[in-house]
Amino acid sequence: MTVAVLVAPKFDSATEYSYDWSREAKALLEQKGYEVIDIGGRRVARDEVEEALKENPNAIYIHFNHGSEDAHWGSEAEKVMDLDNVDLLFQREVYCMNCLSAKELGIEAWKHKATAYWGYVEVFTFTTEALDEFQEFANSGLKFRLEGKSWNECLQLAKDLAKALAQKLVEAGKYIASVILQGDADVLRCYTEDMPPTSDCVFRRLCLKIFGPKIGWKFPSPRLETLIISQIRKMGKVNVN
Amino acid sequence: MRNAEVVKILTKALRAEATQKPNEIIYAGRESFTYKEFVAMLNSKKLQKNHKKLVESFLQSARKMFNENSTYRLKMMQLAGVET
Repeated sequence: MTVAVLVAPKFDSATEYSYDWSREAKALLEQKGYEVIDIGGRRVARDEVEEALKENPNAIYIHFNHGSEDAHWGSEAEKVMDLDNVDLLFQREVYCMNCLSAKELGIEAWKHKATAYWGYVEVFTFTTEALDEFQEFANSGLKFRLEGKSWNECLQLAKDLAKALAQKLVEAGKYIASVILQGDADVLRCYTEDMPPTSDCVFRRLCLKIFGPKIGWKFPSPRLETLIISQIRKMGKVNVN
Repeated sequence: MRNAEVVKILTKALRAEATQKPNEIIYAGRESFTYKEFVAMLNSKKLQKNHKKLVESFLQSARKMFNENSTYRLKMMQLAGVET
């Protein structure tokens, strides 16, 4: 039986919603015959998640909670996944309903050969006025994937769905919610072998263009540009302003 | 229509929406705002860095919808009291 490790902590009002949404994800997985290791509904410790992933090397990993650029959170103070244990995502499909984690952790996961990393590069925002629509959008990628679509197709379908949901919200007079939902769709990313991460950084883009994604992402940090400029300044050879 | 005019219409329209919906809340990561609090930030010049980014992203999406979605544009102009 295929296994899913579903991590959905609950410890504040925002995570009460994300936990609720994770129940639908759990039901979808179980309908498709997955054995779901459900860790959530409370604060979750890093050890619990690491243990579940180590015991289930091929399991899909799903996280519903707060995220940051380099981490998935299990409580107000504890990261359950970050750059120090990202190797646990090796050859896994990773589905995130959290803020920001595709920005750095997702790229590291991709570099560590995660099969797929689904997540957001900015803050995931939602409103109480359109909870059903935000939930539908948040779970759509997983739903499409379980229907047998490729991750590439899932991403396109999720973005199409967001557009349709945003239009529905406009027609219902929920203008703030419609803009926020469309904004979430714009910052949704999925990294796979066929869809490597991209970058807005000029130097990173140059590296990617010259060396390709596998080598281009190995150059240190998105602060490469700053580093080079500071080195040139130190050498005093060129006045860079 | 100039960018500044669009933002002015959007802000006016969204302020009207926020007034109609005092109980709705926006969750953005670990923070939450009432619609009224959020719309007040759209005009504010003194914002924390993370709030500024949130507002800029929101306005960017709203401007995009205003330019590309005729229903949204019409509704925003009506709410803002602009003749269409």
